[in-house]
Amino acid sequence: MDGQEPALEGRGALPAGALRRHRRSAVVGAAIAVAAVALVLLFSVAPVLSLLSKGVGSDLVGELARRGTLIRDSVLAGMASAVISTALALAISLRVAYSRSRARDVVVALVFASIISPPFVSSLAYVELFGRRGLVTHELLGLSVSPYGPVGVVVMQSVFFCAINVLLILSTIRNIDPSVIDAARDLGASPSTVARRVVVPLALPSVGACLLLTFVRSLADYGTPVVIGGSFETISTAIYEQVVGYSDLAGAAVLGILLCAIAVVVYACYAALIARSRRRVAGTATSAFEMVGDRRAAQMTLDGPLGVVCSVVSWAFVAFMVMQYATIVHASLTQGISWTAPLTDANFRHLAEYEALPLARSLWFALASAAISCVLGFVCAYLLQRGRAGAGAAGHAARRGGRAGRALAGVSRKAQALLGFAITMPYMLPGTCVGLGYILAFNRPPLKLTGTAVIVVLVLAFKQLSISQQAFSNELAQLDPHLEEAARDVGATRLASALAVVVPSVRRAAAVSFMNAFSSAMVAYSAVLFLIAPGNKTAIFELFDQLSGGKYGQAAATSLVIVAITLVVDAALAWLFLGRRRRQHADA
Amino acid sequence: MAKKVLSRRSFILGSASAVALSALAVTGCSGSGSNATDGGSSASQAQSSSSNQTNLKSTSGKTMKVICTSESYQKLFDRFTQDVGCEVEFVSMSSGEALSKLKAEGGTPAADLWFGGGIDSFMSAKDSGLLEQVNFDAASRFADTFKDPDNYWFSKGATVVGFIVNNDILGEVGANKPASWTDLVKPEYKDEIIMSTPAVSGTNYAAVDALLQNMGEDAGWEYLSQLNQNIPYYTKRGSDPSTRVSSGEAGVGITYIDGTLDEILSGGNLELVYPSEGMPYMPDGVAVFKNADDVDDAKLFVEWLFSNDENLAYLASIDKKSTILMCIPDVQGVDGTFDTSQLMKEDTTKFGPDREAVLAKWKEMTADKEVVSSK
Repeated sequence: MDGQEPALEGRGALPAGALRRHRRSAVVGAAIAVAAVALVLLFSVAPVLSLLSKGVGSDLVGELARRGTLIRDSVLAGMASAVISTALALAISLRVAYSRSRARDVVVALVFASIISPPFVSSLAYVELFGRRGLVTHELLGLSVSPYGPVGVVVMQSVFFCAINVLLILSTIRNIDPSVIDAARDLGASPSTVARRVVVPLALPSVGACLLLTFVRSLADYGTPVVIGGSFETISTAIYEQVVGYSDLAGAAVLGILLCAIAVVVYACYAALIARSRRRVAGTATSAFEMVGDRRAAQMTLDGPLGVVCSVVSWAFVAFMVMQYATIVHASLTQGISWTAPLTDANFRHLAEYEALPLARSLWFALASAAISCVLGFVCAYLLQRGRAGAGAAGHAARRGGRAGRALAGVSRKAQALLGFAITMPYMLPGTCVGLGYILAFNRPPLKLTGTAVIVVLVLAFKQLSISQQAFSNELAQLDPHLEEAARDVGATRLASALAVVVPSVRRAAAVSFMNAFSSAMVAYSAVLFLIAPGNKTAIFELFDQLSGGKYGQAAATSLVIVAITLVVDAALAWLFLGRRRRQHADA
Repeated sequence: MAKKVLSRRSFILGSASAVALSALAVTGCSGSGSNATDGGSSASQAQSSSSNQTNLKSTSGKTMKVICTSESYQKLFDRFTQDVGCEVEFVSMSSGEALSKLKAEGGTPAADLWFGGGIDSFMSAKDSGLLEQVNFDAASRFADTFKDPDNYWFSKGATVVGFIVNNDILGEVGANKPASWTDLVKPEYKDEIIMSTPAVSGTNYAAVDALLQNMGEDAGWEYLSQLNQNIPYYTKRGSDPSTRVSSGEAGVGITYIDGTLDEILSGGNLELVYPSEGMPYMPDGVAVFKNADDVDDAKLFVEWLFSNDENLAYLASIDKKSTILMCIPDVQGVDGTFDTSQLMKEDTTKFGPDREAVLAKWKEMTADKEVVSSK
């Protein structure tokens, strides 16, 4: 925020009214910044620390040594999932970006659908397809193999996390300046060479980000290993067992501290990568104004061996998703769990009778938490991004102004790094840890939230805040700060310029942020497991209950309805945020 | 043999349909000792000496919040609301989850009543000072060990442990149907047995503790470590063994047995086995949370449920088992012709105190195995 004062002073003699306006704007801006930081401290940092502090005093080193195998297994599985998932995503992104075929839309639609594949049920579908009596492994191939173990976990996580990676990589590829690709083509490079030598290197930072994010997600994932892990345990399932089986919060906290340590390293790598990626994107940008526009990928069709590989991977992904959904649909129409069970609509009738309220509640919670996550994500991103520019300006002043200014810039940068990490903490820990942290932090006055719906909405919002903030940060980084300065030069206050110039340009980030937060909230289970009070039951809770009672048919029906609701809301949001903008664009 | 199995099955299932019918037909105007005064204005006289009378009325105006083990209790809570006038909201949670939540809440529980779950968790909660004492006349009806001596928790039945087998899978691997606990350690069942970890599943904790009690400490652990060799992995949910055996993922599951398995059993070549050494059981607890927002209504519920046989019979019809007769032997309206010798002899009062040590040893034993199997 240190940047605004010199800017304000530099403007010289303003009319008294304008000066008042600017002062008021500065005060409101500062108030918003302070409120945002306070909220992050209260709802991201305090709960996590509440839990982790339970582990202080226990024999950390000894405990970690005893868990050596567990840590190694989790990390290896996380790395395998990250590599496979990112490789799949890269291949699919290339296929989608550089194809003129209509089939591309099918792939995109299925990628979107798989973002919200509900936990537990998709893993059960995997067992039904590839298990000992699986449709594929047993009926078609005549095998009788156990699907339980690390392979199943890695396969499911790779597919499950692939979708979000496709979106991230695809958006980077679409942001590549078409003239770069045209230039390479004009020099005689084949599309496949362009993809290998131009597109992939430019997408590398976001590929790296995908690797790291997937690794972290895999470590924090509970739903997949608990269903198909078999004897294969991960840190996340161990935390659950420690908490639920042994009521051992301290033991769970020790494992949480370990995950946090891993998270620090990963976050540092991620931050470095993002910084590099922004420099790269900035380097290829011809003009700031062009970056704001809706870029289309250069028109070329990927061919050659690389094209074939990408096609095969894409269609394999499609086939897998289709089989998975077919299995879930089939299960939702039967009462037993076998492939020969008679069809019935009983599950959906049960759903209509008993689950309308929990579904409505899920929808409401998810919308509220997504709105919070979206708005706060934008404010935090603005603080981190424009604040950074401010820190730069302060640094600039420091070179002239001496030691005090330099120190101020340094403090500001460190504060920003800390804020960024604070936002990431709940995202990087398993939901079980975050949920317990929320109970520990908010179970007494002055802020007693346990048992309320508010605490559920908050945990969902702050768990996904990191993704929201990063989506906005990426977009803000591409938005030329001079645009805002221009607005201020013609008399707009800082607040007004942020509203008028920045907000309309970050619609895509808003859409990504809202959709991600909404979709995650609709299927979040472990984060809310301990927070849902009687009277606040959500649909995912019903789903888990149905699974626990062995009612797979009902669980499948519930999951389908959750997916359908999420898809409808996401589509509406996409239309609201992006469709309108495209029309505006066409008008211009 | 077939007859014997049938009788054992009827013990567990009770005569569910008959129970349901009698519970529905008798709405407080017949049956021994019932004075048909519900709805009358004698509500103020909350404490009645007659055990089969429910003239309890809620005056709190609050909604009672319940943590229970299954959605199926909706009907029972509806009945309570109708009789007593208190609205009920509930959420289902395993007893381990409930206990951890309770401990994390630090004495400010978000629910009032805890309905169902392994008694070991209830014992632990009592020891941590998290439960409220509930004194009422009908508390004297309970059999020994099926309620807390100081009235902090009560049992509403028991979960009985046996096997579920998938004959297709056993045929495929050339194994016979196991008839006893000792059969399970035979090499032919290698990697064919599924069990939930006793740390998370109260049912399986009962099995482990009861086996240790019956075989003796040394022989018991020796047996469990042999059994461990035949179990590829332990699942985290009590329902996993039955559902996975039913979908053909394993030959034998160590599972709770009650009428709710009927749906699964109809799905394939499946069968229940009642082991010859007897079936371990885990009493199923009910308690009121200390410092809860609506302690009064939760206490009313406990009194309402256990003082009235129609309510208990209705509960039995929902649970699809008659094990309430183990807890309150003189309950009328629940079919009680069964032979308790089919149960394993066990001292359930040890479940609470033993738990920590048993699970620690269990963890050690299975962790060793994990290292072996990951080679």
